[in-house]
Amino acid sequence: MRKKRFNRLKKGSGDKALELDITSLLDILVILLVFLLKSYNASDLKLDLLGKIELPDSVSRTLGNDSVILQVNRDKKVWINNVYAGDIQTGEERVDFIYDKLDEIKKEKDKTADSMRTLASAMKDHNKQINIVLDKTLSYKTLRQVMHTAALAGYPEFKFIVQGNY
Amino acid sequence: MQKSFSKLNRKTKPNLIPIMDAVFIFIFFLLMSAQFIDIYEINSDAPAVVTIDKKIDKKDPLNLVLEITKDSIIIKTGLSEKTHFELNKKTDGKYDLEKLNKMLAEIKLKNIDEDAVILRPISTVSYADIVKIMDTTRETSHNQILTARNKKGELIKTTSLFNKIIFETII
Repeated sequence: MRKKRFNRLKKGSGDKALELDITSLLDILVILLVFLLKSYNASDLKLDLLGKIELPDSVSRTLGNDSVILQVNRDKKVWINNVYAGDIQTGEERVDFIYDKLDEIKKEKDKTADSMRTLASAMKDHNKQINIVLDKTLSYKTLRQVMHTAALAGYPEFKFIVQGNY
Repeated sequence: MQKSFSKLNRKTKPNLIPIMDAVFIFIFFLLMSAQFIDIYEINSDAPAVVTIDKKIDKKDPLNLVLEITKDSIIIKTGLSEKTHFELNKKTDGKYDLEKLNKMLAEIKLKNIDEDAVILRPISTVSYADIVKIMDTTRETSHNQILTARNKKGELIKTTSLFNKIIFETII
């Protein structure tokens, strides 16, 4: 009796396999894919904006490179490689805490470059670059202090990070 | 006979599962690497002092300097830094960047080999304004192509103006 019922059920379910309509799901996936492909940035620079920094708009289309990142927000708080370093005070051109931190990073990077002999020169050239992320409301005085200190610490190639506007 | 016809008539469905798998993996990869702010960079080098043994050119170098003051942009050229032009701010309080671009395009046409500009802003100029001025000095507006002959007599076609930006008084 039970066997008969089971066979009947088995026959019935075998005739019509349950099919999901995935057309709408595929539509969503394609739209998502296109959106993500459009917003994809091939740059190796990964940036987390700290302290509510607002970047200035620019027409530049040069992609950023991964190197030391120095961020200054509108309150002149400074982050170096995403670590809070201190506040810039109005006054001297050379900002000591920035210099010390950059010098420390430079020495570490040079040591790494020396250990990899074949890539040493290329890495050392790359080590001269600094990504400057400044809030757009800051004045040239702060920018000058940052650039002056960075150049003294061995980073004479400044990369101003800006936001693209279309 | 009828059986084979019905077999042909049956719709064949492509197996979408591997495609869906690939698309899902691709979406996760893109989501992880997505940066929703378009970030770009503008290059500038700290001024460097070098001693050159080359024969000094008799012609006065361009030495293009943009002095950015509170109310105007002064274009200076030559070693003696002769004022070439002074562009006052517009009535809306913004720098006249369109005119600056035109002036720089004219200078570029006469000095097609030159690509350096020295910026000399006063302390109070905002960073946003400096970036706009840098943009203006780097490229021609609307990608206008400039054509001129260089010192060697070669025909040069370019859309870039002075893209080697140097800030004075850094070191």
